[in-house]
This record gives sequence, structure tokens and C-alpha cells, in this order.
Amino acid sequence: MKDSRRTLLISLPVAILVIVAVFPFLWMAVSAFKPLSQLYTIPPQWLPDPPTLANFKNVLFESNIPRYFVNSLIISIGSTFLALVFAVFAAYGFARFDFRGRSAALAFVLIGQLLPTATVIVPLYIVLNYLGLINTYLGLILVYLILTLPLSVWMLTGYFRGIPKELEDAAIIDGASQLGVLFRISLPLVTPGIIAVTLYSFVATWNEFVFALSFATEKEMKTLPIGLAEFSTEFDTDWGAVMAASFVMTLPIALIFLVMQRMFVSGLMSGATKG
Amino acid sequence: MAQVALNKLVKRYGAYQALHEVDMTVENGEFVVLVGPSGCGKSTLLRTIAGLEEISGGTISIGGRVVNTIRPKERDIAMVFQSYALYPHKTVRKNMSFALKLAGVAQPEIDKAVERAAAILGLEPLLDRKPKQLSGGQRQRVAMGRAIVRNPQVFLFDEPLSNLDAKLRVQMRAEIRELHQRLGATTVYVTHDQIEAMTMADKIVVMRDGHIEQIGHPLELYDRPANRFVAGFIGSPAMNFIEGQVDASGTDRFIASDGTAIPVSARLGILKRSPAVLAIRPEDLSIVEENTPGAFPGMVSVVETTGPETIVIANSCGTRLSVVIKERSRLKLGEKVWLSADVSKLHFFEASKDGRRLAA
Ligand SMILES: Nc1ncnc2c1ncn2[C@@H]1O[C@H](COP(=O)(O)OP(=O)(O)O)[C@@H](O)[C@H]1O
Ligand SMILES: [Mg+2]
Repeated sequence: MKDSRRTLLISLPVAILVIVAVFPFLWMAVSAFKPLSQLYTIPPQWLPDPPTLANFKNVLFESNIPRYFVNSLIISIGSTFLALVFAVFAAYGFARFDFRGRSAALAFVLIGQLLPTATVIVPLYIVLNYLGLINTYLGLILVYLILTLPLSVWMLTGYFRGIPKELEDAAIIDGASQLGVLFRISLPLVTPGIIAVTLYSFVATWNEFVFALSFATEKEMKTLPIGLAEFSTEFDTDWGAVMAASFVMTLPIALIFLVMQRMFVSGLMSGATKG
Repeated sequence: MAQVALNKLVKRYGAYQALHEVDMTVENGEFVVLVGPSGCGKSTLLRTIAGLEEISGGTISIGGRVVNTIRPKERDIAMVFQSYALYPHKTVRKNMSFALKLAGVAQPEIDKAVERAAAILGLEPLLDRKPKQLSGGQRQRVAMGRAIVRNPQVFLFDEPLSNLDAKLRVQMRAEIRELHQRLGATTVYVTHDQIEAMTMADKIVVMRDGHIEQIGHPLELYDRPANRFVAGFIGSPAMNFIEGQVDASGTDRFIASDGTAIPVSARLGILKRSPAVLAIRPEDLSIVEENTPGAFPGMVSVVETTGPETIVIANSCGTRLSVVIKERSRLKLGEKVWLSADVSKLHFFEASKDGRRLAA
């Protein structure tokens, strides 16, 4: 009796949380398959009847969404990859080497993160323009690096600090070089951190709106979030298309989470030392 | 030939000096134990020999070659860490073969070396496990296996047994000694446990606060400690110290600070009048009948029995004296007893801070 009450006490809030979190997603998925006439009915119609693929046909064959999708993919993968490379080396340096001004540098890394987006748009525009990087993949990739690198460095620094020093000493005694230690011992052990940074960086850049709006103005360079907004005009919004495009936009994120979840190996460190 | 020689070795961490002009030689094939209280610089010393720490002064040579600036992998040493430091993502086999692989040894030879080391340590059934699937004792063995596959000239151990339970520790103590006899490699073994030092060492180096206090054979340290620190550190229960001075009246007595008189050898005339510390090992004290010549009184405050022997702690001579007796005791707390010291086994130290041994 007492047990079941406790179960209820735990499961009820969880259920509410899940519903609140998942409902918009489900509503989007369901609406994507509705014909226009069923989108605005009152009371709302729960399931499309009959389901239609018209919205998807519209989005995939008659809009610029496929092009935007590819742009987003290139930019997000590019900036995530670059962020990982830089963050691994920076974080390892911060975690392992004692150098003058280390804590100041580490604090400074975060200051960039604290500046409101609006304050950096103009300076960034001027710099990108000077370098001829407006409306290029590289331009947005570099801008997104500014966005994601600080937190990535901080996260990975924490993970690297969690590796016992003696483990690296053992590898050095075994004859590994400093880079060998990083790649053969430390990096495999911070896999959960690498995954966390990858997820964070990809999701943050995939959804980014303001920078994309400012620095990728040509049709050939626009990203998905901007593309979504194109379905809203001054007079009307094609909600069916928005829902279908949102559905398409969500797929890569869902896919990444599914794949990476399996790689989130818990207790990777256990067994290294006595405990 | 792999003699390890340290010459005026200095190590500083910023303003803090961890090692003060350490001089020490480990002969080829010798098993030397570095012992001292926690924080005295044992690990630091071992890590400088390994090349994991840069030194601030002096020289380190291995096999006659000065290695001050030579990288760890070129020093031909292997090290076993206190935490074992096994690579958690590699199997036991991979852990053990890592060094050989980095050195570019051919795979068939690596396999052979790993199998041989595994056989010596009884690790064959565990070769394909990951460290987290091993018990503490097994991990310890793998850490040793990783060291011996490489067949190094010098083995360095940093408190390898301190995470094991008491029984396993005694067993591994013997195994490490056996391994040393079999491989014959020069070994530097660090511990804070003086019993480990006494039982394992060819030669003990006692350290305190970054200084070497004494170097010698275990029994030499036990029988003739160079100063009060070594005397108190080596031996369990610890040596008794009685403050006072040798009687000036020529009757060959040591007068403790509370006035108790203890008979000492006549040769101590030279020490007359100056304050000194008389030291007696607990097993060199005995409990005797009241009228025994030279006996001095004490009051029983603790009686502990270990089975084969009994430790009696008595308030006497202005301090607490431990007495180890072989027979079972019926002594009660607060009972008055008479103590007698073996005159031929007394030690004297200066009353100063250094507490150097006084000739006797
Ligand atoms: N990296 C370091 N930086 C500053 N001080 C250190 C460092 N490593 C050790 N020490 C200091 O050096 C002294 C000796 O340490 P250690 O060699 O580890 O002692 P032990 O192994 O005998 O317990 C200690 O006081 C310790 O605080
Ligand atoms: Mg230590």
C-alpha cells in the first residue's frame, strides 16, 4: 500500500513532465500529416483523417528546404568538428599543464559567452565582411565556433581533470609521448565528454537563428531555422508546411541522440585505480 | 649493471623544498626500501628517479650514466603506482603489452613476453578482462605484470601494497621479495610502513622532511639507530624515551626527570651531568619482583594482548613506558609493578632537537 503510493508520488510528476515535454513534438508530428482544413478545427482534431503527405511534398519538392537542410548540415558538422578539435587541445592544456595565467585564461574563455548576442553582431559583421566571409559556409562555421567553443572547453576541461594523474604518468613511463598520452589514454577515457560536447555543439548550431539571419542572407547559404521562417509571410503562415519542415529538421537531432545514447558508457573510469 | 646513484639531489616546488641534497646509492640487484612518514618526500624522490619530475639540483645516474635530462622511457625503468594506474579501457593483456607495443617490439615477441609475465604472476585466466572486473589484489598483480614484461634494469614501487587488506599485504610482501630474487633487478621500494621496510629490505633508507636520516641494513637500524627519530620510527611498539641525565655522583645511574634511578653501564661516565634521553626497546624491559636490584617502579595503565605476547603500558619515569612480555599477564590496571632494563641494550640520544645518538 505504502509502496504503491510512493510509486505514484514519483511517477505522477514524471508523467506530467513527459507530457509537457513531448506534447508539442507529437502535435507537430501529427499536424504535419493533416490537410489544411483539419489544422484549424475547433475542437481540435487529434488524428489526421485521412493522413496526407501533401505538406511533405510541398516542403521537399516545391520549397528551398532541401537546400537549407544541406547548408545546415555542412555548417553544423563543420563547426562541431572544429569545436571538438580546438576544445580537446585547449581543455587538455588547461587540465594538465601548469602555466602562467592559466586561471585567468580559463576565466577569460567564458567571458565571451557572457556577452549578449546583440552586442557582437555588428563587430562580427564588420570582421566577416572585411574577410569576405559573409554568405559563406566558412563564415558561419567560424561564427558558430565563437558560440560553442567556450562551453566546450569548460566541459572537456572538467572531464580531463577527472583522469588521475598517475594514469598518465604510467603511460609516460611506458614510453608514450605527451601526444601519445592524450590520444591513447586520456581521449578514450573522456568519450562521454566528447559525446556531450558533440551533442551540445551540434544542437546549438543546428537551431541557431540570429547569426544565421545576419550573416547568411543569400538563398544559397540560408540555414533551416531561417527557412522555417520563410513559410510565414506578412499575411499568412502555411502551418502545414511549417510542421512538415520542422519534422524534417528534428530528424537529425533525434538520430544523433539515439546513436550517441548507446555510446554514453557509464563508469568508463572505474577500475583504473584502487576504488 | 644498473646501479642507481643520487648525488646531492634537490627538488623544489616553487619556494617549498621537497628534497634536501639527498645522497644515496642503490647497488646493482639490491632491494632498497625508502621509508618515512607521509609527506616526507618518498614519492617525490621516486618520481625524480623515474624522470616524472624535473630536478632542481644534483645528479641522478642509472647504470653509471647521468640521466638528469633523459626522458623516462630512455631510463630503462618500470614503476608500480600506489593506485595501480591501470588503463581502464584496455584489457589486462593490452595493459601489459602497451609499453612493448610503443617500443615497436614485434607482436609475436610481445605475446611471448606477456604470457611469460602472466605465468609468473598467475594472471593467465585474467588476460582478457578489463581492470574493473578484477579484485584489488588482482589489479595489484597486473600493475606488477605491466612492470615486469618490459624486463627493465630498475623497478620502482610506490607504496604498492597500501590499498590491500592486511592478510593480502603479508602475502604480496613475500611474493614481491620472491620476484626480486628471481629477476634480480635493482629495486627501489617506497612505503610508510616500517614493518614492510624491515621485512623486505636489503637496505633501508629512512627519510624525514626531505632529508635522509639514516641508511643501513634493517637490523643495523634497529640495533643502532642514528638518532631519536629513527629510533622512534623503526620498531613496533615504538621505542621508549626517558628524559633525564646520567648521575654525576659516579654510581652509574641514569636519573629520570621525575627522579627515578635506572642503572646503566659504567662506561657512560663521559655523559655525566649533561641532559640526555635514555631509550629502551619495549622488549628490553621486563617486569620483575619487588626486591630485584636496579628495579624501578611503575603503575600499570594499559594491558593489551596480541596472543603470543602482551604489551603492558606503565606510568613510570615521568612518562609512559611500553613493555613487551612473552608470558600471559594477570596484571590489573592501577597495579604497582617493578621494571628492569637490560643494561647491555640501552641507547642514549642528545636531548637537543636533532637527538643524535650518543656513543655508548
Ligand atoms: N606537485 C607538487 N607541488 C607542490 N608540492 C608538492 C608536489 N608534490 C609533492 N609536494 C609536496 O612535497 C612533499 C613530499 O610529498 P611526497 O613526496 O608525495 O611525500 P610522501 O610520498 O613521502 O608521502 C609534501 O609536502 C607535498 O605536499
Ligand atoms: Mg607518497
